[in-house]
Amino acid sequence: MAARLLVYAWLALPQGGLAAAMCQYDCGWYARLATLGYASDSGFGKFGVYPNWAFFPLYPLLLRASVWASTLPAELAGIFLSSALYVGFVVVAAAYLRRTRPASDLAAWVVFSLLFPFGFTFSAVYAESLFALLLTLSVLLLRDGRPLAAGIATALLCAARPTGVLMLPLIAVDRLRHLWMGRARPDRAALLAEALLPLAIAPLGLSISMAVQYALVGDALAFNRVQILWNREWHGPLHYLIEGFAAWDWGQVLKPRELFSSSYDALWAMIGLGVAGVLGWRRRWKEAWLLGACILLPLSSGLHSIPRFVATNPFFLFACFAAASRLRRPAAVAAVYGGMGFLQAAVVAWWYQASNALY
Amino acid sequence: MRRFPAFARLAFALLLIAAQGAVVWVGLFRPNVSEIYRAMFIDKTIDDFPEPSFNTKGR
Repeated sequence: MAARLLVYAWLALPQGGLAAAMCQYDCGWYARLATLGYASDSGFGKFGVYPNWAFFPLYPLLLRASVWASTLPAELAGIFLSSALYVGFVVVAAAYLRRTRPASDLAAWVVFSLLFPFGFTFSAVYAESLFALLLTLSVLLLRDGRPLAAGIATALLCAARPTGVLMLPLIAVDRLRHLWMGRARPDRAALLAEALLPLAIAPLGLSISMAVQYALVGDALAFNRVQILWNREWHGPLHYLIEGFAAWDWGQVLKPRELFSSSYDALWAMIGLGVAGVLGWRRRWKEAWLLGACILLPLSSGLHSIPRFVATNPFFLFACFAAASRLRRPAAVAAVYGGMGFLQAAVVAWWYQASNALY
Repeated sequence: MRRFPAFARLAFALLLIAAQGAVVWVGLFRPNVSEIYRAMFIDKTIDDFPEPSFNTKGR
């Protein structure tokens, strides 16, 4: 990871350094939230001018702690924070892969995770690495028969991004199964508590965020309603997929900020949904759900950021890693991994120009 | 958590669920916002939004 950051820093030299080059798009919001808090910009009528409620609090809180502990600027402290969280994700993911894909070469997983072309987002000042870590941890704990710990991890996940609530159906199914299996137990109250408590704890991150937003803005759904400022409106996933491909604006992929390619974003959605379909076909239902639903939910209100949501989803990464692991010839392995590393360097350089590479 | 009696754990779970249900209910049906906020984000009668301040592209 340190070597990867050094490469990023070397590539950033012409752009004025790592922090300046890496800090694109949402990084500015997170950095400002971490240093000034929500009341700095939120509002429309009650506070300042621009609402920042779309950004969930856990990552800004961790970033604030990192800034305080390191005395670095938020744009730089965030890179180290995200990278550390990514290391945590790679470790937790290795434990998950060991259980779900026992034949996996974990050393290859570490190399894969460092070279994956869009993996640089996990080092950017974004909540992606935190989300990937907590999502994988939640699924792992649930799989290991630790529902209460899974509920706590999901509560943190819901405080990192609202799509964390997509873990709730998995916990609910697990707990219903627990209820059914224990139907003959005499201690009904204990059984019911075991079933309900993880479910009650899991959405706490979202619920507390909503309560705070109600207290400060007067609207518990502010995080959702202000999405319209980013042109996000609920029309369903099919509407945006058709709109994306109908736009046929591939030429904008390489252009700088202010432009984005709907067709490129729609293609990423299709790729992600296709991979979710393959996971479902292989009866990896939980993974298929957590990839497919994490795409469909934001896709229902727009195409923006879909490439990032797909490429940084842990289960998309695991599926890509499983595909890469099928390679047996050393030359093919070297070609694929080398190609990924080269592509990552290209995408990072692309990101530094504020292009739409993975936004 | 097992150190607490089963009924206490169950009551705590039900309390959490009720509290979170109340938050969702208030969020859906009882927003307490300014007129400009309501016009822009709830009724959507204003559509000339200002540009978000820190990112220059959609999210």
